[in-house]
Amino acid sequence: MEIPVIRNVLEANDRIADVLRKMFAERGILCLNLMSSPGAGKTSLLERTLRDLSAEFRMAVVEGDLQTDNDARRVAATGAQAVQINTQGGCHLDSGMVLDAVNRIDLSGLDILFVENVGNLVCPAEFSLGEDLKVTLLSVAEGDDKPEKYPLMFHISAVMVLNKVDLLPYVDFDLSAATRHAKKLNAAIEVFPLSCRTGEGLSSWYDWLRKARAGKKG
Amino acid sequence: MHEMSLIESVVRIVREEQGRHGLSRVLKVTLENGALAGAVTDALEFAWEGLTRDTDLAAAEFVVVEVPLRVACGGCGVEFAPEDRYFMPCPACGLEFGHRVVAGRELRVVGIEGE
Repeated sequence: MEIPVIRNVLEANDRIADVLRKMFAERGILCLNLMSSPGAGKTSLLERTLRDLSAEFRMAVVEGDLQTDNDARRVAATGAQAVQINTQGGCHLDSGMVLDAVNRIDLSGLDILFVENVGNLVCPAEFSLGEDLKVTLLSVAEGDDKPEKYPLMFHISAVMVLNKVDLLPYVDFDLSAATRHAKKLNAAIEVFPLSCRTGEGLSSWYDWLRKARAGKKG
Repeated sequence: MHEMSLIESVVRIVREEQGRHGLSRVLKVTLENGALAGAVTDALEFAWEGLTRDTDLAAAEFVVVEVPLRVACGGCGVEFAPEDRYFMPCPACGLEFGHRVVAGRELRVVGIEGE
């Protein structure tokens, strides 16, 4: 006999993601899932953001890496709470890992929780972590066709940060081509070319953060 | 992607449903694999074969149905299946971007046959 069944293969992850989503909603915390390939600048963006907006928002970070607590240390140096997850070999964070980490954070009065995912443009896209929005970084040293080559990641992201624009004179990266590729599968994606190093373009990213934060609170 | 861990989840789902419906034998399992789901059909089949070998599920037929990408035009709403994943002008109005994904993100068990 044929059993009527429709069951999502990733339901176990999604169930815990729902728990996280509820936790954040109850406390009015904006949760952002930061993704990119290794070295695009996720941690640098967090360092700048945590320092520059420290007076405006109370923020904390969950860091994800295979090994080391390098990123958690960098982030903690800004004064923000940071918890490091080591996947030991896992190529993405899943909701179970994030729940464990979140349970080690003092959530009281928190405005924004950043989850810095493992550097990887493929696997993290598939695993919801209970976040409100996904932010994907691409550096101008990586090639402007990456949104085309990794469609799911950019399809599900609210923001594409194009980092390291200070390197534009030295690379063949076409900002408008990268933007066009991303908008093909996601017309609403917001694009912020910036440089964590020089500070150029950061104010637009901060304005977006403020808007997103206000949206969650209200 | 993580076909091995995905198939572990599939096996768990099949066992749960087998128990829920009192099936003594599973004859066939059907999985939908959407074009945007990120799972490779060959690898799913390979993982299933590896994980069910020497179990009673080894005799079950494992079918993966690939679901093509289907979008609704961001401008006029007409649904179509783009031939090219990266360049998809709407056949009705020509709009090239901003389409909504209607199908192709699924990764789910959609059929279990047993007795």
